[in-house]
Amino acid sequence: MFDFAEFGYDFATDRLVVGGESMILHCHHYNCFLQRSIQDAEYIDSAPILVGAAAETAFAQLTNLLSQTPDISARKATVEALYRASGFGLIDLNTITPEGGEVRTRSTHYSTGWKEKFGRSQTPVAFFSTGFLAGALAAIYRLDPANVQASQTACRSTGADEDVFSLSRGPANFALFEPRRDVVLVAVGNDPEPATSVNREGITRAVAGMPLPGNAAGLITAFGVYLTRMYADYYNRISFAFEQQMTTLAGRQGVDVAAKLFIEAGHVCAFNTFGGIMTSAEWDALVLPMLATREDWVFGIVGCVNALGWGTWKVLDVTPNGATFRIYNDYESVGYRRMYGTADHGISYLATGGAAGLMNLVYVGDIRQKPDLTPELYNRLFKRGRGFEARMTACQATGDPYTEIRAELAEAVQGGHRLEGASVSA
Amino acid sequence: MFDVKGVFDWAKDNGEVKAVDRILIKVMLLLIKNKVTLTAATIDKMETRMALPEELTAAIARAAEEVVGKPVPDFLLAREASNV
Repeated sequence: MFDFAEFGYDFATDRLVVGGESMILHCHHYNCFLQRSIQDAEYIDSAPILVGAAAETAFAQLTNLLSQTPDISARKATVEALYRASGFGLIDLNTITPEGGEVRTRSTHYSTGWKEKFGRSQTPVAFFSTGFLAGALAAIYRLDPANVQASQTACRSTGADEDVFSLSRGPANFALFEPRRDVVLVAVGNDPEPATSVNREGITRAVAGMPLPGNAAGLITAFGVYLTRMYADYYNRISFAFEQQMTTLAGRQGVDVAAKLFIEAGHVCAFNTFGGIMTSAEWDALVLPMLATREDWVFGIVGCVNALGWGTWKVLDVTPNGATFRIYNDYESVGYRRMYGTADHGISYLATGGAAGLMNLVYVGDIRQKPDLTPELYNRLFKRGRGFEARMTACQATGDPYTEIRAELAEAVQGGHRLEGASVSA
Repeated sequence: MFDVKGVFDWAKDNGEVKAVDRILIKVMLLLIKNKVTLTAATIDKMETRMALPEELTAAIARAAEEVVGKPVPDFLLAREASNV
């Protein structure tokens, strides 16, 4: 069994680092939506990016974690246990040798999640698992990932009975990236925040301490979603490598469209994960007794957000018409700086969408009444009528001392649709 | 040539929240090739039909069908007399 609790959640920066990799919680709605947004640009060969990003992070982490484990069987067991504990599914590595091999499984987060969210796929979707296995093969046998190949030859999302992954030796058939720089974190500021009776730190500690075990299929089912403890830099790499390719191909126009879809992924995340948390029995037991006002619901969910490994969120102001969230060491900024240095535009897309999403849940969707989190409600909150839109007013990736998101209530325009085109530039 | 504004509006009404942006990202290379700048905001505000190259309008219709998951209604694809 792999126990994340042994690594200790860092409450000073609200991060969980395991084997040198920042691990964050996200659900299958976000994971699949983000991947589909990238794949929508069919003129970009995104598969090598998706696989390479997973290989990069898994190899780095596993090399670290296995450094004191010489026995091959024990190394494989650790990898299998970590994969399962992360909610990625089940893998049996007994079949692989230093030359590669075939891995078959009936449970993979992306295959299961994709089918549930989007229905049957025409092509395999488990790029993350493909890359993870490539990184695992290299780490277990101390190989250079540049000499490992990986592909998915069958996928349950397409109707197959199982997922099948093929591993072999040869020049890597996925993207290899420049090494990442060391993490540079900023000190969390002592910012004045509105008075509240909500004990956010207590909520963060309680939620971060929840075990979130995988089920028999190696999937984490909680709050009505499939959760994963995913590598922050997996999301960062696939997003920013994609954004760079869009910049090369289409300039600012391409980046702006991609940014909107990345922010929409944040809406999807907030609606499903934050909504799932705020309608859960755990919320009722732990948080609800502290909530006196609607604003307290915002403070309460921010207490939970700070347990997800995303960095430290603060609420500088909140009213029914808007809110300002200041975030220290948001994982997108930290990852961007590790990979590419200082950004020339704001890149905290998940945070932007997440901020608007949580405000919509509290003030427009009235999450206090525990509505069903249906597609119809999603459309009402994010497509039609009044709703919150958010923009970055500062971004740590650009050199600002923190990331700041301003969410404001926007009125519907003619026809009932939400006005498009909210600024995303920092 | 049919009016793509009608196709975008149909996708917005019948598709997911960012249906228009998904269409735009799918046809981005053709937009660049034809030196056309289109955003969801400019489409929203446009009051008259757009004159676009045929390969682009056809690609937009195809992308709209993929995003919405059903065929674009025939009346939206009906060709209009063009002065372009």
